[in-house]
Amino acid sequence: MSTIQYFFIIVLILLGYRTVVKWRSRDLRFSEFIFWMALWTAVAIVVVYPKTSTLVANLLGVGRGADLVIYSSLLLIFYLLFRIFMRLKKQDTQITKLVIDSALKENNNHDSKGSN
Amino acid sequence: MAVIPAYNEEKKVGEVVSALLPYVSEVIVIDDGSSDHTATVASAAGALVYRFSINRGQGAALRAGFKKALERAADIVITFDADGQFDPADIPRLVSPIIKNEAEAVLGSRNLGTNNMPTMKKVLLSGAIKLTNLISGLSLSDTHNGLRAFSRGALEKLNLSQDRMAHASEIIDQIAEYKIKYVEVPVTLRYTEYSLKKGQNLFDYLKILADISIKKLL
Repeated sequence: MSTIQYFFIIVLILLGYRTVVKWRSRDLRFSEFIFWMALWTAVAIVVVYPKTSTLVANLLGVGRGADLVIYSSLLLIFYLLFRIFMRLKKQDTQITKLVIDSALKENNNHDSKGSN
Repeated sequence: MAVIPAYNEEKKVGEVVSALLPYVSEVIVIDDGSSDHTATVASAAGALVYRFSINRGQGAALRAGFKKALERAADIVITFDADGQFDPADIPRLVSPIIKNEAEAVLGSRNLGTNNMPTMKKVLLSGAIKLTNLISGLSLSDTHNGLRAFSRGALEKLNLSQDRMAHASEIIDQIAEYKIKYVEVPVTLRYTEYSLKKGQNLFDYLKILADISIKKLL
């Protein structure tokens, strides 16, 4: 194996470890845990046996394995970005709702007398 | 009843509230998480003040104000800017179509009235107006004008969601969508160095455009 393969494997093991820790501490749901573990495993397989990616690539009609890896990575990244974007929008809306509700609960006139 | 969204307006909000009070039953100021004394000044001037703990934008502040005004049984709600560029003397003219039952929403228009708008602002604004008309299907002579009046019924129909500046276009969109009867009324604007500094620049207009487009796409 080449240096970059060793490096990638170490990073992937660390990511896998973090994923297990997050699952144990219940920060990840079981389905999320499976998703991330499957992703790390798939990447590990491709890193250790680069030829497998070419095999799959040819099956899908893509010339080189490395190309398939890049295409699917991009797709995954955009999908995750989209999800994060939607999540942020939702949180924004929720924060505003919270701020409005708590602001309207009491008026801010206690420092002046009888002014409403 | 008047609703004023205010963000760091301690210099002006006091006189704006005092000038408004003779024309309306109550002035509600929503302090949009200001870091200065906006809330204290407004409350000393006689407004009913509600404070956001963090800045959420003018759209969110207006929504909070509308909610409170409806809670306090307002019949007519006027939106007013805190920077002192509007003239409270326009209010009787603004609410008269609602009182006469001719409209549910009255939009102040800068371009029907007299003003000393700087040229650069005129160009930017005319672009924004054309675009808003295109999207909403209404034909207005102004957009993003903070001086408006709504009947209680109109406010109950509106279902606003934009927190930041895009709310101004959103209001117009929904007036069209919910078929709220509206008229435009000329209003006077005073462009002072102060209000211009606090106003919208080209970059802000682009941001509004982005907010609207995202909302349309989703």
